[in-house]
Formats: sequence, C-alpha cells, structure tokens
Amino acid sequence: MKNLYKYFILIALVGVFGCEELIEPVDENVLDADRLDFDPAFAEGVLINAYVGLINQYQSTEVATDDAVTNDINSGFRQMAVGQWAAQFNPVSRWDKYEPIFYVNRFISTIENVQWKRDPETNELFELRLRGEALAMRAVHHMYVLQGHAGESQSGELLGIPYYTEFIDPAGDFNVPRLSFEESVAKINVDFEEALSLLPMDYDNAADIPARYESYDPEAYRFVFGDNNRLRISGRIIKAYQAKLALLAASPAFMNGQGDYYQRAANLAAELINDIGGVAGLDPGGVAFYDENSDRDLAEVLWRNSVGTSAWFEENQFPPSLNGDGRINPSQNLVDAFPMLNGYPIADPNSGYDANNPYEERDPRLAQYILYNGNTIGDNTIFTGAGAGIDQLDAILGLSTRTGYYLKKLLRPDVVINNDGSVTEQEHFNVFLRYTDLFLVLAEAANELGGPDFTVGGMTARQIISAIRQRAGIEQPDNYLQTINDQAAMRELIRNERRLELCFEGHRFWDMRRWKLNLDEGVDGIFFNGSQYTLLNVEPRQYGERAIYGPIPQSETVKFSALEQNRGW
Amino acid sequence: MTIYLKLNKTLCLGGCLLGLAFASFGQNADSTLAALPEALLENTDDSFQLGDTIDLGFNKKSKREVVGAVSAIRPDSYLGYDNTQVVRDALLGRVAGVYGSDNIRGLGGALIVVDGIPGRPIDLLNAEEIEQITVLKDANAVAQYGTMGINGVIVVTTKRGDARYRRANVTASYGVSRPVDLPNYLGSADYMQLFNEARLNDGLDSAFSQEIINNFRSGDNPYRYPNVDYFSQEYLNPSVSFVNAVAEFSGGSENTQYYINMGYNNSSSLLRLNPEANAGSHRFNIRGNINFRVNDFITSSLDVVSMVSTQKTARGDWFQEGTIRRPFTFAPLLPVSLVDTVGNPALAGQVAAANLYGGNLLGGAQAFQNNTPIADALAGGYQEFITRITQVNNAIDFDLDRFVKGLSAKTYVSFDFYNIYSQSVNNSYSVYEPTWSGDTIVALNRIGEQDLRDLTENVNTQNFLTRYGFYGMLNYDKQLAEKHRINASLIGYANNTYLQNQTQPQKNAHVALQLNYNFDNKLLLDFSSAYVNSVKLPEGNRGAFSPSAGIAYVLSEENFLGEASWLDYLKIRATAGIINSDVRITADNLNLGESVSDYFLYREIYAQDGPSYGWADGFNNQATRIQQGPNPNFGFEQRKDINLGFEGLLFGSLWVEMNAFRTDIDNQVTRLTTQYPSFYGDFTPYSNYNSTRIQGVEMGVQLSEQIGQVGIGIGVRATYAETERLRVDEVYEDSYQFRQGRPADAMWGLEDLGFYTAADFTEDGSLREGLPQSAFGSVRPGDIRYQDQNNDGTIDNRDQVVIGRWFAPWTFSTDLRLEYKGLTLFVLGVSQVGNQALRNNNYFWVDGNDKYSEVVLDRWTEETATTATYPRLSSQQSNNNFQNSTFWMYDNSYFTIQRTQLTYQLPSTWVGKLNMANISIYVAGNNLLEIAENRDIRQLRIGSEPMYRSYSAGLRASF
Repeated sequence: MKNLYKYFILIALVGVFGCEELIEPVDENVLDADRLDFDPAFAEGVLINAYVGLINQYQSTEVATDDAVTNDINSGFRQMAVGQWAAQFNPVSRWDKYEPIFYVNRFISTIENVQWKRDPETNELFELRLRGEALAMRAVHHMYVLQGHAGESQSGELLGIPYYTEFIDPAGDFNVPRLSFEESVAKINVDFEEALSLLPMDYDNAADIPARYESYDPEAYRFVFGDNNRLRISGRIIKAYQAKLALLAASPAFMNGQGDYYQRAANLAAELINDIGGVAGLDPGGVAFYDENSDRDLAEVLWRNSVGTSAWFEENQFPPSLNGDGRINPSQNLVDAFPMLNGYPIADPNSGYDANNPYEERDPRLAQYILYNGNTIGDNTIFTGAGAGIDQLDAILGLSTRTGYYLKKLLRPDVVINNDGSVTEQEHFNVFLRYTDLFLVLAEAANELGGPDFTVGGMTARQIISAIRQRAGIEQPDNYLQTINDQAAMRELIRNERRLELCFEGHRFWDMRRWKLNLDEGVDGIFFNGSQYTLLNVEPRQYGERAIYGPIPQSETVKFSALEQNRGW
Repeated sequence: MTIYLKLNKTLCLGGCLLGLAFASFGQNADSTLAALPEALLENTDDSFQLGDTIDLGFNKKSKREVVGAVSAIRPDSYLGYDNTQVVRDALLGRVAGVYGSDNIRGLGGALIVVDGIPGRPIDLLNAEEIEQITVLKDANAVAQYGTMGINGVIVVTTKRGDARYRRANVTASYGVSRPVDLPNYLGSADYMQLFNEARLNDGLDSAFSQEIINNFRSGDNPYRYPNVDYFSQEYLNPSVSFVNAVAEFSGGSENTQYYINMGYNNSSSLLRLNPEANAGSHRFNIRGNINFRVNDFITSSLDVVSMVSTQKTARGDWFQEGTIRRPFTFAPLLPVSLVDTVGNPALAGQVAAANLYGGNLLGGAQAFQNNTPIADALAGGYQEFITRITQVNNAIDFDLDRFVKGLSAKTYVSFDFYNIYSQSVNNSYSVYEPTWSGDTIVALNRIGEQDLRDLTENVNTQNFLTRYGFYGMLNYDKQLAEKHRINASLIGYANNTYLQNQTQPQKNAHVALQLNYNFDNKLLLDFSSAYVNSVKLPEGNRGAFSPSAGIAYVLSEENFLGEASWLDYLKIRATAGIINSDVRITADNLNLGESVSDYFLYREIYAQDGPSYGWADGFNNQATRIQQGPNPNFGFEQRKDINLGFEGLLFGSLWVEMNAFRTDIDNQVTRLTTQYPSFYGDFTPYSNYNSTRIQGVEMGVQLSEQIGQVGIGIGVRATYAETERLRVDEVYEDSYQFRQGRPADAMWGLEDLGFYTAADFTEDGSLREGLPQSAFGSVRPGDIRYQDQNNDGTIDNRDQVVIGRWFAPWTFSTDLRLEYKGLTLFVLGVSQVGNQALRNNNYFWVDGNDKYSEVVLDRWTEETATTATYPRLSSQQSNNNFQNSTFWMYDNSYFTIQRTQLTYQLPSTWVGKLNMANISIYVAGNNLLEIAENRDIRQLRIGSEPMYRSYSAGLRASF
C-alpha cells in the first residue's frame, strides 16, 4: 500500500510539473501578415484569390432565361426566374466579387515589402508584373460587379458602383456611395490602362521585349514575363475585357449608343482580331472548343486556366440513362432559334422546316449543342419521347428532362459514369475568354456604328456573321444573310448568332438584359408521343421591368445610407 | 506513445485495486454486519435535513451554513421506490430551477463535475453509485469553478466505503419499450394520386396514369408495383427490450474502506432486418473507490473506474432514410422464383451469380442508384461503436492541525482516458432492376458495385480524449470567539483535456479564494472569488478577477421569530457576483464550422488554404485566405448575477424554498456584421458586444407526513424564467424587427391569414389589386396568405414578427409518494407551459418530390376550401407556404407522467430468514402518459428513433 501511495504522489508531481504551460495556448504556428514578407508563394496566394474568383463557362445562368430550365427543384436560378428575385434573394449577385477586390488591394499594399527574388533586378520585375496583374484583376472584378449591379436610381440617373482602390481596415468608413455609371467605367479603365503599361501583350519567350522593359536584362525579363506565365492575365486579355466593357457600356440598357463606347469596343476588338489575321483568323475548331478532339492550344480560346481532369459537369448534365442528373434542359425556344441548314430561320417560308421532322436539315450546331429526341452523344442515342425509359420527359422527376432536351454542349462524351458509381474523368479547362465572343463584339459594335457593311479595322458585321455561319456549316454565301440589308435586321441576326454560338456559357442572361429584351417569355418544351411532337408550357418567366438591372443587396442598403438602391427593387 | 503507456498502467493498476478490494470484502464480511445501523436501511426521506452535509465541490457544509443558491439530491433517498439508474432521468424534475436535466435557469448546459473533474459525462454513471448530486445555481455558489461555472455547475459525488457498516446491494430490472408513435406515410397509390393533383395545381400534366395507379392500388404484384413502408412491422420490431443490473459492495476497516460498483445494461434494436448487425447496445461498468489512512495525519483515496459500451447497427440511417424514400420507386426484394430463366442462360447465369437474401435478389433502379436503405441494411455490413473509458482519481488529505490549529490541506489528481472508436465492415453489393413481362422478370440490369465481402474490419478512432485535473487546497477553519467563526480556503485549480486531432488542449486554470464568516450560526457571510485565466484571449487580457459575495441570515434563530412554534427554520439570502468566462467563446457557438479553432480569434490569421489557380499547364498556387480581422481588445464574456431567496421548514414537515434571480450575460462574442459590408466577412474581427438578461423565480415545496399507517411525501417545484436581449448587433428597416428588448428565444415568423381563395385572383390568375405580392414565389388559391406588416406591398422576411417563444417560461414538476405497509406508489410528473414550436420538418413541409405523409390528406382543394387545414399541394418548391409562420406554430405546453413505480417491500420476517437485509420488488413505467394539446406532434419523432414508452419489472435486495 505504501508503494502504491508513493506511486500516486509521483503521478501527481508528474501531472503538475510535467504539463505544458497551463496559462498559455499551444503555439500553433498560426500565420499572420508577417509571413507575407518572406514567403513569396504565400504572398502571391493573396492575389490568387482574384484568379480563383474569375467567371468561367460553367455558370448555368441559362436556366433562368428562355434558353433552358433546370430539373433541380432547389436551384436558386429556378426560383429567381419564377418571380422570387429580390434584393434579399439574388442568386446572380456579384456583390461578393468585392471580396477578391479587397484581397487584391491588400496584396498591392504588400508587393513592395515582399522579397520575390534575391536578385534586385528580377525582384523589381516581379514587383512590376504582379502589380500589373493585381490592377488588371481589380478592374476585372469591378467589371463583374458593375455588370451585376449597375442600374438606374430612383430618379432615373444611371448609377455605377463603388470603386475600391484601398483595403479598408475594420476601423474605416464603409459607407461609400456609388459612382455614376460612366465614372465607374472610367475607373475600371484607369486600372486596365495602368496594368497595360506594366504587362506585355503575351507571356511568350519568343515575343519582343516591350519598350518599358528594354533596359532590363533580357534573361531576367524572360524569367519573369516568359512562357511560364502563360494563362495569367496579360495585355491581350486586358484589351479583350476592355472591348467587352465598352460594349456593355454602349448597350441599350446603359449608354444606349451615347458616347464613343461602340467605337471603342469595335476598335479594341478589331485590333485583337487583326492580330490573328482578321476574319480569316476565326478558328475552324471553335464550335466545339470543349470536346475530346480539341487540343489545349486551340486558337479559339483566348484565356483559360490549366488543364485538369474532372467529370463533375458531365455528372450534372448527362441524361439519367448515362447516370447523370440531367440538370440543364434546353428549351424549345432555343431549339427554334437555330436556323435551317440553308440559313433561313424556321419561321421563314423559304426555310423548308417540317414540324413533324423538326431536327432535319437544321443548322449543324443544333445537333452539336443539344440532345434532342434521337440525337447521339458519343455512342449513345438518347430518346426523350414515349417509351424512352428514364430519359423520357418527366419520367423521374428531378432527374429526367422537363423540356424534352438535354444539354450536349460543353460535355465530353468520353466521360463515363458507371452504374457502380465509378467515373472515368477527362481533361477540361475553365474558359474565361473566347475569340468568337470578340468577333461577335466587333460585329455588334460595327453594326450599331454604321449598319451591316460598316467597316472597322477592315472588317464588317456581315463578313463576321458570314464567317461564323460558314464555320457552323451553313454554306456561304447564304441567301438569308444576303437579304439582311438594314441595321435592325442585322442586329436581330447578330443577337441570334450570339445566342447560338455562346449558348450555355453564361452569357444569355446578361445579354438579354443588356439588350432590354422581353424577359418574361415562358419556356416551352416538346414531347414526342411516338408519332408526333406536342409543344408544352414548361415554366413561366416572371421578372418584370425592374429586372433589366440587378438589385444592390438589401443587407447592404439597410446598413449603408450612402448606397442607393436601383429603381424598382 | 506516452498516453498509451499511461493507459496501460492505469488498467493494470485498476485491476490490482479491484482484486485487492474484493479480497478485503471477503475478509471483513462478518465482522461489519453487526455494525449496520438500522436507520440506513430505510432511508426514504425525500428532503434533506438541516444537518445534512452538502457537497459544494471543493468543500462540504451543512445545509444550514450554505449561503448561495444550492440544491442537492441524494439517490439513496429515493432509489428504494424510484429505481431509475439513468442519472439524467434522476435529475429531471427533481430540482427547482433546472430545466430538463442539466440546464440551470435557462442559461444553457451546466458544467457537470464528477468527483472533482469537469466534463465527465453523467450518462456513464449508474444512479446507484452516486452519493449526492448538488446543483450550484448562483454566481456565489459557482465562483470557485472559475471560468467553467458560467452556466452553473452540477456536482456529482460518488459513494465511498464506510468502516462502520458493510453494504451489499443488488438491483436488477427487465423491461420493454414500445414506440409511442411512428410516422405514417401514404402508400404508393395514394401518393401517386395526390402527386398528380399537385402537378395539376401547378398547371402541369399528370405524372402517373390511372392504369399505373390502379396496378399499385390492387397490390396483386407487390414486386412490380411495390409499396414500401419503412415503419411497418416488416422492418421494425414492435418493441425493444432492456436489462439493467447494478451491484454495489462497500465496507472496510478503520484504516481502509472500499466501495465497489458493477453495472451492466443492454438494449435491443428496434430494427428487424439483419439482426446480426442490428445487435443493440451493451454497457458494462465497474468502479472501485478506496480510502486509506497513510499515517495519523494523512489520509488518501484512490478511485478507479472502467467502462465499456458497444453499439452495433447495420449500415445506413434507417429512420432518416425512411422519411425520404418514396414507397413506389422499386421493390427492395425480388423473389428469384419470379425470374423466368427458361431458355435464357445469360439471365440464369446472372441469377446464379447473385447473392440471395431469403430467396430474394436485392432490388433497385438505375434512377435511384444509392437509394437502397433496405439493401444497405441487409447486405452492406455493419458498424459498431465502442467506447472505452478509464478514470483514476487520487486525493490526499493532510490534517495540519498539529502545526497550525484549524489548518488542513488537500491535493487531488485525476486522469481520464476516453477512447471512442468504430469497427465497421463495409460490403459492396449489387442490386437488380427488373424488366417485367406480365408477372415474370425477363431481364435484370445489375446496378452498383460487385458483390464483395469486406474481409477486414475497419477500425476508426472517432475520439480519443485524455484529461487530467489537479487541484490543491489549503483550508483554515477557526472559532475566533464564542460566536465568531471564520473559514478560509485557497484553491489552485487546473485541468487539461487533450482531444485527438486538436492542437489546442482545453485548458482551465485558476486560483480561487473563499472567505466565510459565521456569527453564531445566524449571520453568514461568504466571499467567493477566482482569478481566472483564459488561453483564448490575447496576451494582456488573459487574466481577470471574478468576485462574488453573499449574505445569509437565519431569522428563525432570532428571538422575535423564534417564538413562532410553526416556524422551525427560516433563512434568507442575498448574493451577487461576476463570472468572467471564455467557455462560450467557441467556434461552435459562433457557427464557424469545424475547420476553425476556438483559439486566436483575436488575431488576424492568414492561411494558404483556399482554392488553387493553375497557369501555363503546369504551375499553380493556392489562395491565401484571411480568417478574421484583428481585435487586441478581445476579452471575457461576463455573467453578472443577483440572487435573493429564502428557505424554511414549517410545522416540522413542510420544507419551502425560493430564489429570485437576475443574470446578465454581457460582452458576448460576435462579429459586428452590421458595421461591415457582406463581402467583408473574411476580414471582420470578433468583438465582445451582445448582451442578454435572464431573470425569474424558482420555488420548491416538500411535504413529508406520516398519517397513521400511510406515509405521504409530496414535492412541487416551479420555475419561471424570461429572457431579454439587452444589446444586439443588428440593423433593420422596420422598427418592429429589432431583436433588442425582445426575448432571446423569441420565435420570429410571419402572421398567417388563412388560405388565398379563388376570389383573391383575377381571371388571368394574378393577385387582385391591393393584395401584397409574395416574394417567396407566385401564389394560387390554397396557398397561405400572410400579413404585410410594413405595408410595402410585398410579403418577405421583413414582415416577420415575434409569433412565439421557443423556451417554456414556466416549468413545473411534482412527485408523489404514498406508503402503506410494504407498498409504495411513486409518481413523477413534469410540465412545461407557455412555449411554442413549429411543424417544420419534412413530415409537415411536403412539396416537390418529397415523400407524402398523412398530413397532406387535409390539403386544400377547391372542394375542401373551407375545411382544409393544409395548403394546396405543389410539385414545385412551395417557398411561400413553407415559411416560419403562425400557420405552422403549435403550443408546446405539456404535462407528462415521467415515471411511476409500485414497490412492494417484502416483510422483514421473510427477508430475515433468507439472511438478507431488505428485498423489494417493483413494476415501473416510463413516459406513461402525456397531456398536451398537441401531443400527437410532440410525440412523433421524424428522422430519428421513435419516442418510447417503457414498462419494467425489477428487484432490489440488500444483504
């Protein structure tokens, strides 16, 4: 017993004196701002927040437009489209893009304190490049916010957004008013322009060294600005965003042709297109920039991220018979927007459209982008009509199509999702900018400036549309295009081509509102009962007039008196 | 590694000790029997006597001497007629001011201290092994517990041996529990019929043809047209059985005393499928508490506790799955006899290769690949959770009287080891989707993985916890003059809990000082305080002083009252104090998610743990995120407390006690989201800001009377508490939405105005002019209409007002004991009044593709527009209808007969012949009856095991 007792005294002593400091936390090696100064990768990580916040082609906002619906009953886009869009409920809010902007501002204030490289010259080049990237990313994200939240005030004044060029500390003032629309555009361009002065057009070892950097050691320049930085934001990418920004500003919902925004959009787009050889530079592989035959150096893709393997998008979109969730269901409205192979819209008496064989003799893009009844994906033929099993319209609610169509665009048919849940992934990349978009920017701007045959940089809207239709498989010259002889008719055609070419890449929702189109056109579907096709009303669209502009979040207007809400919200 | 060493040593040591104790039990058996005092055998008093000792955690006092608001119960006093071994059940309804079993005055979960160490779960104890449970309520009573006492403290002390008598007690019971209520879902045909109606309501076509529905309704081929009811007797047993046995032995000599407790209980599973996997739960525990004298001024004690519990179930969460899986989707089992393999060798081969379950193939469907709970239960394997616990306590008491008169010292060390791990076997299996031709299966589509038995048992540690606690105490007790007595104690306290995978152990360290002054047993002063430390706060803010003071005055000692013959005793008390605490400063309380630590919340933390961006097809970097903004002023939360009360004994048998309290919890940590934009979340610091007040009254009355041969004991307890938010970080457009000045448990919701009628809509289906639009989606007749509180023409969250309270302001409990000869009847009733709840789970909120429960039968249709009690059905999301609103609110008040027991104590003449001291047999019922307006809703459990009603029979014997 005595020994036992001693043993416990021992335990007691060990317990008391053997423990760590009882009144201090364990040093967890928690990192704070000091770390930024001596760990360049860690510091660069602050800027990376802006890169990971870029908007790519996988947005699926089409399900809130006349192009599609989703079979996901919980989708915010779906609720928004049927009348629930509000300043308190905004699935397309871009307000959160201010977060990467704040990270960028924090980054900019630390660039000079970080030792990027030991060699002073290389270090300086790093500072310049990263500053350029940061400014450009700040502008891109402000542009996102502008697109999401610019609008008319209660008094009808066209308002932009607050523009943040500093990180504001917790003790700072956050009651920041919105700039006017044009001021906001100008601020974005100020950042873009400064970034342009710091960044080369391309990160390319073979490219000429810009004048600004001629005084530096060429080796060091190539190390910092060379091939290894491809797919980071560059001068060419900035100019493309500037073109898109100018077109946004010029659009009917905003400046509506006032100012020189169409001209700027046209000039910037023309400059970039002429760099790749003008209209002839339109990449023949651009229609299917995403499928298994496309290589990663496709000329069509102006900006993307690194290639990686995945299958999540196919898991969401494949029809249920291929073990997908069949999420995006393209609409009859969109299908009807595809012309015939001869170029005529289906409603045109010359089109030769047969409602009993609606997919015959159609623009080949229809078969490439949309899985209609009897179309194929890979080796599988998909049926959505009567007797089609789980792919049949409304067969399994929440899984089968609601419109009679499944998505085919953006999907790689060689992704395999097996019955046992195992998946064969394939290479994918996120696309941020495509040349086809720029071609359509030029066509739209040129037509608005002077009609179908107005020349900017040696190109006209008609030439561009012709090239796009030719690439699509509509033999040129096509008779329908030749009948287009006024600005209004050309506008309709350009808008339609934009709708088709860029479908399901997250553009339609923003384009419709930029153009002030009717947002409340209900979405139709189709059912094939074995002998004939019947049109169905699938889902209404209930937006109302105010929806041309997005709301400022109610949570913000209630906190900050200087922040004015858009009219109607 | 060292932890395992420690564990092994502990186990060896525990084994040795128990062996030792058993050995001594045998030796001392006869010698102590004679010393057994008669009174201890029949201790059936409900209430404490004034001279009773109350264990306050660090020290003990007589009930008369206690200053703070303290209540105590002693299981031995009631186990003879209320034999519940579950400690939580024992606490429920027995102490004034306690809601449920561990929420003191509505402050939240109290700190539970078992034998000096906080954080030990009481669920692992048998009531039999507990000497006393003391509930410390006010700031003065909990001050010595430092930061940990903010929500009040429940002190549990286990039994110890006594040299004067030997005790041997055995109790065993067996019982069955039956589900009180089970969910009732619609069958396939009814579902389909109503789903078609829902589609029609949405302006859509029917989803199921009448022919299909008829096939399902006829039930002729339940394999082709299945109707699966997860809550039927096919899958659930009608009841579960349980066994509980506890034995205790104690005794000893002058120098060594021991107490040993052993318990076993088990409970079977309600799930019927795969009984091998659904094996139920078992628990075994053993405790040995030993006191021994080291020399003439040092005594010591050593306690060793060991416990193992296991719970084995089939894979999958049956009760959750059962609320989701619709009845018609596929047949879970397909009889092989229905497969037509004639002339189809491929199909025959498929069947031959498949695993069969009672002659059945596992059914499935491609569209519902993973939705196979029945196949999962049958073929998926099992999971078993195992908890192993070892506890060791050592106390050393030094009587230093010989050095300084009145001085004593104590050290206390304790170690806990908890290991919770799971053993699982995860089989993969195939399910088959049949192709039917008439009533035979002509093809099978195999879905899922290959049939494969998991050959290894996977062991996963769920939780590994090591805890050690230490305190040292110096105590000075002195009678200064005839009527003046002082007592001072100084305590150094530390405990440390290490959890697997957590860098930061939970540390508590403080120094407590208590000063008492007693004037003539009439006037009692108590100054209790602690200097506390928090490792969660920034340097410079880590220490704080938490003072409290109390005064008690025994009025009945004064002459002016002492004359009143009906008044035997009356004491009034007043206490006040401040408790600084960091206990509530946790990532959990702040809803930060699992990845965030409770520590360094005051620092601006950078972590490179965001998503990656890849460039140049080969390079990438991860985003560096900021966790929060800095706040160098980050500090303690504070409980500020005032308590006034009295207790008294009237007419020699009526005990009355009452306390009025007001507690403010100030400086609660929050992020000041109203001062920063929504996108500033990463950069927003944590601040001490919000404040809440809880105030109320608790009272208790206890009467014990012997009228002739009938013994009566009646106790009634009542508590009233209300809360108010004094300071809130908030901003709203409408003044009525501010939370400040409202109860903390206010239920916010919309005010419903019944259903929209056809008259509310124009020809084209839009709402008539003047009616507010719903921001929750377009509405139709049969949807719920709401009050537009701010008259802005839109129904949205801004129209939410206070519609009720979640927390019952009133709680009552009563216990009744009637004794006649050897028979004792005991009844315990518990009641809460004045709170509301919402019918808002997926049983009541049914839309889209949800499973339909019976509630939808009362839906709105054009025909039932005037009588309907449920909104119109919709195959879409019914966001408008499924908002928190008065429509779904129900009164949650209830009165429940929690327990009742009828005990028969065998006459002592019989018992004596058996050479035993005492034998009683009993029958008992748990949760027998509930009286409540909304009993059906209250008693229905959705997504978890049902509520049970239990009946048991048992035996208690002492030797």
